[in-house]
Amino acid sequence: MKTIHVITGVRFKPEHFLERMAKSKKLSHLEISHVNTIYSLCWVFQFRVALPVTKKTTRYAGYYGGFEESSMVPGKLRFLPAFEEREVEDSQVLADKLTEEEALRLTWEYNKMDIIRKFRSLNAPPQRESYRTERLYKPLYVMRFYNKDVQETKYKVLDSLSGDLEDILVQ
Amino acid sequence: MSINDLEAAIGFEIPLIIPIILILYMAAMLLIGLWAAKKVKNAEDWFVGGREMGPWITALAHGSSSVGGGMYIAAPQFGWEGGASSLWAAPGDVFGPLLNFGIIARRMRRYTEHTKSLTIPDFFGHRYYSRGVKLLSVIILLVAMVISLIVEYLAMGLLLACITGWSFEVSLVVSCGVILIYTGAGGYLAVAYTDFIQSLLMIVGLAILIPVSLASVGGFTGMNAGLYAINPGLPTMWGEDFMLKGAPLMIAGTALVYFVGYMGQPHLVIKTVAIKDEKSIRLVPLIGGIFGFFLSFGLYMLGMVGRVAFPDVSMLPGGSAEYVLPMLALTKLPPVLAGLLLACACSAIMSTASALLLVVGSSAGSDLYHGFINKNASEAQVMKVTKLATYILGVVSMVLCFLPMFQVGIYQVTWVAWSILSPAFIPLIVGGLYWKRGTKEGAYASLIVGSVVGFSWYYLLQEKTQIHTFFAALVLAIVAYIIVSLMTKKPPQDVDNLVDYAKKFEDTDTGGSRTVNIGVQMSREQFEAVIGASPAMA
Repeated sequence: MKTIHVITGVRFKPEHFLERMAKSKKLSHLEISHVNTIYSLCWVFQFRVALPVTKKTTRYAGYYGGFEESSMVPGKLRFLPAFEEREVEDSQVLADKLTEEEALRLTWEYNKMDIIRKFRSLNAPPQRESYRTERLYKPLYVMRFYNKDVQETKYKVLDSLSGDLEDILVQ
Repeated sequence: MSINDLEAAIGFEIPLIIPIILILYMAAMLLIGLWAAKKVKNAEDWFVGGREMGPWITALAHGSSSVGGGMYIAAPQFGWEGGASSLWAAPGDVFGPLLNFGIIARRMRRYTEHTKSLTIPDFFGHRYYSRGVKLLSVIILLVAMVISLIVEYLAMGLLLACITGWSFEVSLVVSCGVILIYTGAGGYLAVAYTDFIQSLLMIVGLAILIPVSLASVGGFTGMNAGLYAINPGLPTMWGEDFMLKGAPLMIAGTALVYFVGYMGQPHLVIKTVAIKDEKSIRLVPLIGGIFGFFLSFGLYMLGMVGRVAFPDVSMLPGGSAEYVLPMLALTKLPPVLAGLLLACACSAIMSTASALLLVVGSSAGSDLYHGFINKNASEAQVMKVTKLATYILGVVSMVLCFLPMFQVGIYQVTWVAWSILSPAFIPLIVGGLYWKRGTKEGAYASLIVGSVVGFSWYYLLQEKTQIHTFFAALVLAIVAYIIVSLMTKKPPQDVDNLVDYAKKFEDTDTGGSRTVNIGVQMSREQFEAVIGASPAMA
C-alpha cells in the first residue's frame, strides 16, 4: 500500500461518462464499465518570485505552476488544487516519469514568460527565489469497453481533469 | 475640435467639476493600485487574493474586457450612424469567443501541447514547416495590434478633449503621454484591482445613463418613433435609407466580423476561456458572454438614442458621431455623474491601450528580435528590446493617428484592424487543424491576400461593391489558401500525423494505436493487476 495525495473536486467522474455513453444509440454494441482507478503524478510548485520592477526596487510575488505527467505538459495554476490523503495499492500508482529537478525546470521555463507579461514592464527577468513542491496525484479511471459484435475487449483511461479518453501503453 | 464647439453643441458651459473629477479619479486609481501592490508582500497574500476571486467577479471582468475600452466610444458612434442595423454586430461581439472556442480550442490545445508551441506564430511556424510563415504572421499581428492601438488613442484623445477643453490634437498627444506613463508604471500597480473597479464603475455609469437617456426621448416607443421621423430605415435592421436591403454581403460582414473574427484571434479566445482548474470557473465564459451581450447591446442602443437626441451630425461637436456618448453624458446626467462616467471611460481605455502596447512590445521583442534577429540574445537583452519597442511603437501609433486614412471614424478603424488580422489567420488556423492538405505556400497566399484585401478593400471597394471588407477579405483568403495548397506539394508526413493526433480527441472510441511518447504508460504486470484479470487487449 502507498499513501498519496489525491486531487479532489475533479470535473470528470466515471458515472458521468457512463451516463453519456448510455445515451448514444450508435454505441449500443459496446458494454462499458469502470474497472479500477489509477493515479498519475502532477507536480505542483509554489514559487516565490522576485520581480525587479526598477533597478532599485524589487517586489515579491507568489505563483503556482505545475507539470502533468500523463500528458507531459507544464501549466500554470490559479489555485492550489484541493487534495486528500489516500491509501492505495502500489499497482494503482503510475511510475514517475521525471525527477523533481526536471519537472521544476520545465515548469519554471513555461511560467516565466507568463509572469513577465502579467507583471508588465519589469526591469529585468523575474528570479525564482524559493519554491515548495507538492506531489499531487490525479485520478485516471480505467474503463473497459467490450464490443459484443466482435467479442473484443479494450481498456482506456478517462482523465478526471480534462475528460479525455486515452489509450494505455503497455510496455 | 475645440471645447468651444462642444460647449456650443451642448448649449452650456462645461462645469469645472468634470476635469476635477477626472483628476481625483485618476489619483484614486493610482492610490488603489499602489495600496494593492504594497499589500502583496508574500506568497500567501497573493494566493489568498487569488482564491477570493469567484467566478462571478471574474465573469464581470471578462464581460467588460471583451468589449474593450475603445468600444465605449466606437459602439455608440456606430449606433448613431446605423440605427437598429448596428445590432447585427452585437451578438458577435460577445458570443464570438464562445462559438470559436468550440471549433478550434481543443484541437489547438492538443497540437500546441505536443509541439510545445507557445504562441500562434509558433504554431504557424510548425504546422506550415516554415520560418517565413511565422515571420509574416508576426508582422501582420503587429500591424493589426498597432491599428487597434490607434483606436484606443483616438477614443482617449476625444474624451480628453471633451473633459478638458483642449483641442483634439493636443488631447491626442497628451493621451499618448499618459498611456505611455501608465504602461511604464504598470510594474508598480496591481492591475487586477483597478481594472475591476473601473469596469464596475463603467457598468454602473452605463446602467444609469442608458435608462435616463432612453426615458428622455420617450422610452423605446419614443426612440423608434424618433428614428422613424429622421429616416424610416433607421428603426429597422436595414439601416438608414434601407441601404442594407440590397446588400446581404454587407450584413454578412457586419455580423461575421466579430462572430467568426475571433477565430483569427485565438490568443484572445484561449486566454479568456481555457481555464480548467475548477469546475465553477467553467461558468465564467458563459456568464461573461451573457453579461457582455447586454453591455454591447446597451452601447449600440445608446447610439440610437443619441440619434434621436441629436438627429443631425452638425449638432455634434466637430460634426462627428464619435461624440455621442460624451454628449449624452454631459446633457442627460448631473455633472458629477457625467464626470465620473467620462473618467471611467478614460481609464478603461487607458488600461486596454496599455495592455495592447505590452502585447505589441513583447511580440516585437520575443517573436521578432529573439526569434529572427538575435537568436542568442539573453533574457535581459530581450526585455530591454521589448521595453524599447513598447515605447517606440507607442509613439509611432500616435503619429499614425494623424494620417487621413485613420480619420474615418473610430468604429470603422476597429473594423480595419480586425479585417487585416482575422481573414488572414482564419484559413491558417482552421485549415491547419482540420485539413491536412494545407501547405506552406497556401499559408503565404492566405496571409498576403487576407491582410492586403482586409486593409485596402474598405478604402477602395466597399462602397462601390456593397460587400463588407471582412467578408471580401475572408472569402478571398480562403480561396487563395485552398487553391494554392492544392497546386503545391503535400505537407510532410510529420505534420499529417500531428493533425491526426490533434483530431483524435473527438473520435477516441474508434480505437487505433498512438505512437507518441506521452500518455498513460505501465508495465504488463501492473496493467494486469489494475484490471484484475488477464487482459484481452490494451
